[in-house]
This record gives sequence, structure tokens and C-alpha cells, in this order.
Amino acid sequence: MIKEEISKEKLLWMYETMVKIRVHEEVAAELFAENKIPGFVHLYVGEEAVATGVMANLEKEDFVSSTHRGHGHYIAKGGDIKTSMAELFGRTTGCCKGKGGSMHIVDLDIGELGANGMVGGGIPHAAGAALGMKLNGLDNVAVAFFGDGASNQQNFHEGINLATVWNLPVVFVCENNGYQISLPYSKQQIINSVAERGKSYGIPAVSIDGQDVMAVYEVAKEAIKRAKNGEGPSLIEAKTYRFRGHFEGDPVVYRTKKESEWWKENKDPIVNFKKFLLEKNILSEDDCALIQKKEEEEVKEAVKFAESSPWPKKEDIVKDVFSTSTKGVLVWEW
Amino acid sequence: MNEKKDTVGIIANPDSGKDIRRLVSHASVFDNMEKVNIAERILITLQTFGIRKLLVMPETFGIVIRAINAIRKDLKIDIDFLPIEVLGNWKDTYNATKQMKDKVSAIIVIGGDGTNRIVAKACGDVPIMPLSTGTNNVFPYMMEATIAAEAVASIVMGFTTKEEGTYKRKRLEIFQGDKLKDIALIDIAVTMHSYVGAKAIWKPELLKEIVVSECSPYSIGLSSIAGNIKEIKMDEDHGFYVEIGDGEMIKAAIAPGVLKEIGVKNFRILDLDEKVKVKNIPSLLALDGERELDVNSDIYVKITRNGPRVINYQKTLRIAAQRGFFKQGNF
Repeated sequence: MIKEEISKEKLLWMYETMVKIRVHEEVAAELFAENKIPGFVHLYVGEEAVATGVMANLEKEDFVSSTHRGHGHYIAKGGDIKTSMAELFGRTTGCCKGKGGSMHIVDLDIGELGANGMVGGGIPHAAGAALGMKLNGLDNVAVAFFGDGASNQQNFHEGINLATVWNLPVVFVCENNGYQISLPYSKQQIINSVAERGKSYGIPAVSIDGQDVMAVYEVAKEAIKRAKNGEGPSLIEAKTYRFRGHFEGDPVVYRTKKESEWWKENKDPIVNFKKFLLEKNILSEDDCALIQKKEEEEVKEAVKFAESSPWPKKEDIVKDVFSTSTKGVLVWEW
Repeated sequence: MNEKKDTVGIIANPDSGKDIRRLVSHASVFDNMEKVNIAERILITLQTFGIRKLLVMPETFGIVIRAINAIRKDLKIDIDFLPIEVLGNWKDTYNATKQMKDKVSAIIVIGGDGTNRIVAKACGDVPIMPLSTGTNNVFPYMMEATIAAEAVASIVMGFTTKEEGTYKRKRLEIFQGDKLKDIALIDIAVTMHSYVGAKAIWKPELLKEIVVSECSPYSIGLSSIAGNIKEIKMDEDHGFYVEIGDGEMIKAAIAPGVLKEIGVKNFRILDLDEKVKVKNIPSLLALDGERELDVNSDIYVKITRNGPRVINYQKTLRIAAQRGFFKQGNF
């Protein structure tokens, strides 16, 4: 008998989460094309295995910091898609009361420190959260998600350096999707793997197939265990691919159709994970169809909720913009 | 001039040395710029000893391209890249080896056991010079690339013959019925893992059986479990089988800095071509230390002498030196 290394419930959660993210993002693409979503959206289609594989190892009390492509992290961390969809629509029921939009999806109650419009901006946030955990004697972990482009930013180097010096419980997860906006990875860095940068900071660094949710799960599990055991930070590079453009509306002239078709045909993380679950008799085709339907219904409900929610009022425009709750911090008064 | 005679192939894997063992053991990242340095030393040495042409596997990083760029002004050797579609996975190694095997006199492999396993599937009888860049490697040499390239040059230029300077390695063949399913070079482990995931093996509690083609107490990885019971040398026509379970406890270095106590239920020496039936089904087989193959029905393993032809660099260079390979005028 094969040893139970991971529960059936966890595997089902992983599949459902990946499907939910995919459905959410495809619906968001349609809504954006219909001009129902203001601002920019950067979709997570194709990268679902990374957020899911990592989050499958986290508890509610663990923190994650996200990126401009953050819907997947929010959903996988357990975010309510009604409030995130309302935020995309700019409505008051959104997690930032409609003022943040796609790049500011956040929910501190579930440990989601927020999406971030600044490239690499979430890295020091996660390191800071990890410092707080350490100072407070908590045995939790913080995970920083960021892209390959962010690993060229000072935030990456400063965050990872301090986390290493202070031996913080943080895991740095680079979602290397091969493009820094439109610039291919090979033209950004002389090395072929962001994992090689871990060596400079003296921390363990691993490069994995980010399209394989089980590989992500297993590597993240070890990195998180290590962090929680007080052994310090580590770096995971998940090699992945965004199936859509950098942003919705991106003409994607910087890569060939043949390339993206190859990834979709051969490296779709949901298709491949479904195949694994079918082969192991964990799910049937009927089960998969039911999950698909369930997630479509849930996203449909979220859209209905968002569309029927009120717009923010003009007089509320400067409310909630600056924090007033932090003791000792000078707060701007309007 | 026979074009093949002075042509050498190079397969360099840009992905080796970065797997989960960096997290679960004390292995370090093997960075690609170090592989570029290795390639530079190889190019300079091959050129110095009269090799005129190289056939190179293109890959996602461009290890050899970067080496060429670094020493361009001193480089006179003719270098061609194989016209393969680069997929960024093991198929690149397989396709490149298949294409180059009839066009080169030797292949230099920069990678670990895993890379060499793929090369071994397609290289036929072309001598290979395996240089270690991965983790837990038993098959490739951990050695200076300059000396490795000297040995390759002396074989290719005919100072040492292929018969004198190479030997056939063993390999492990996996059969389902009469069908060859896959191969490994050093070890096949029968594990209770339920998925391939991050591939490496570091949990001995999931190990059930190990079949090795060679093993020693001075090797690292899964074969060390067998090697700590009995040494089987590469030139011996034997292999070894270990059943893990209740029995005498053996300490083994299954990964860098990872020493585990493993119970040995049973063991025996295997003859070449002897069939070993896998006892634990269903299971997942790890080939040369990497989880690869789901097993759901009867399967057996046998050790053969069908492995790749590997250059014995010490013997090769000893003979070459006696025949004036290093004397001025020959390079």
C-alpha cells in the first residue's frame, strides 16, 4: 500500500483552489474586456500551482505578501472572493472599500498582507512580519511572493539580507514566469535561476517546476518547516508561465504564439494535476466536472455581489487612506 | 580527415545542482557560471590538443555560448550547435545525444547522475566523459575539467585507443514483461512515495528495496546503503540487492550531510542478467536517486553490461603520456 504522504482532503482542496483561481481569473478577464473593472488587472492564469502548493502548507496565522499579480495568492490563502471581486469593481464592499482595486487586494484577518503595485514591494513586508513573529515568540512563518523582475530590485536584496542576518522565519518564493513585463528572463539576469542568488546570502535555495503543484507543495513544506524550526530563511524559485499577457490588454508581441501554446498544451498545472488525481483514483471525471461547476457558481455569485454593491461616495475619498491607529506615528490630517 | 575523428560533443545541463536537496540536506547550489568556467577549461584544453570541431547541445542558459564569449579571441576551434528544439527539460539531453552520437568521437557530459542516465539512453557506444555538477553523484567524476578534456583529446586524437582507455559500465534495466521500461546507471530504489513531486529521496522510512549496479562505502546517495554492506566495483560482473525492513541497522550517507540509520532485512549479490522481481507493488521507483516511475503491476530489474562506454581518464592519460601526447609539437 502506498504510504499516505498527503491527505485526500488536502489534495481535493488543492484541486478546488486551482480551479477556483482559474475560473476567477478567466471571469475577471471577461469583465475587464467589458469595461466593468476599472484600472489594471494582472491575471494569475497558468501560475495556480505556485500559490496553491505553498498555501497548502500554511496556517491562517501565517502571513503572505503578494504582488501586482495577486488574486491567486489571496484566493489560495483563503480570501473571500466576494470582497475581492467587489474590490476589483471598485465598490464599498471590497476589501479596501473599493479604493485599492486589483493591485491592493488584502485581508489581514487571513494573513494576507496584500497585493502590491510596487515590484518587489512585498518582500520587506514579509521579512517585517517574520521579524514581528520572532520578536513575539510566535512559531509562524511569513512567505514573500515576488517575480523574477523583482529579484533585481533593492527590496529583494535588502529583504533577503536582513532576513538572513536576523535569521527570520520567512520563505522567499520567486514566481519566475520568464518575463519581466515584456523582457525575457535571459535578458534580465546573467544567471539562469534566481535560486543561484540564495548562495550569495548563504541560505538554501531551490529551483523547481512551478507548474507541478506536488513539487511546489513538497518543497514549500520543507522550507516552511525549516523556518518554523528556527533555521532561518530559504529561497524557492518556481519556474512558471503566465498564460495571458502581463496585463489585460497586453498585445504580447514579445513572445511567440508557438511558445505560449506549448506551455498551455504541455504545462497546464490544472490539467496535469487532474491527470494525476484521476490516475490515483482520488477524483473521477464526474467529480472534476462538479468542482468546475461549483467554482463557476461561486465566482458568478461573487460577480453578482460586486455588481450590486454601492460605489464609494465622493466625501469618503480620503478616508482610510492613512493609518490612524499606530501609536507614536505622526498621522497626516486632511 | 575523418570529420568524426576530431569532433567532440558537449552536453551541459543548466538545471543540475538546484533541487530540493538544498533544503533537506546540506548540499549547496551548483551555479551555472561555474559550469561556464568548466566549459571554458574544456574548450581551451581540447583546442590545445588538436580537436578541431565541437558539437554542442543548445540549452536554456547557454553554458557553452558564454564560455565561447569569454575566450572568443583565443578560440580557433569550430563549434556547431545541434539543430534541436530547446524544451528546457530532459528531452533536450536525449535528443541532442541521439543526434550527436554518429557525428562525434566522444561526448563530455557536464551534469549529475540524472543527466548521465539520459545520455546513456541514447549515446550507443560513443565514449563519454561524465563530469559531476549535481548532487549525490556516483556515476560522473568529481574532477578538474582540464584533465578530463585532456583525456578526451587523447582518445579522440588516437593516442590512446578506445579499447585501451574506456570501459563499458553496467546499467540497471527495468522490464515489464519483455518490454524495457526504463534504465538507471547506479541504483533503483523501490519507494512508498505516493507522488513524484520534488523527485529526490531523503526519507528512508519510505524505502523498501534497492538494487544497485555498483556500490561502495565511499559513495554517497542510496547506493551507499548497499555499499556499506558490500562493495561492488564497476568492473565486477555483479550487482547487489537490499531489502529494507526489520533487521540489522546500518548507517548510510544518503545525501550530503544526511546520515540515516536504515534497517536491512535482507541482501544478496546479484549476477549479471539475473532478474529481480520487485516485491512491493504498487510503489514508485526512484532511478539514480530521483522518483520517476509508478509501478502498479509485476516488474523486474536486471543488471547488464549495456551501460555507456566511459573514459578511464587515469589509464587513458597514463598511456597517452607514454606515447608522447604531452610532448611539444603534438599541440
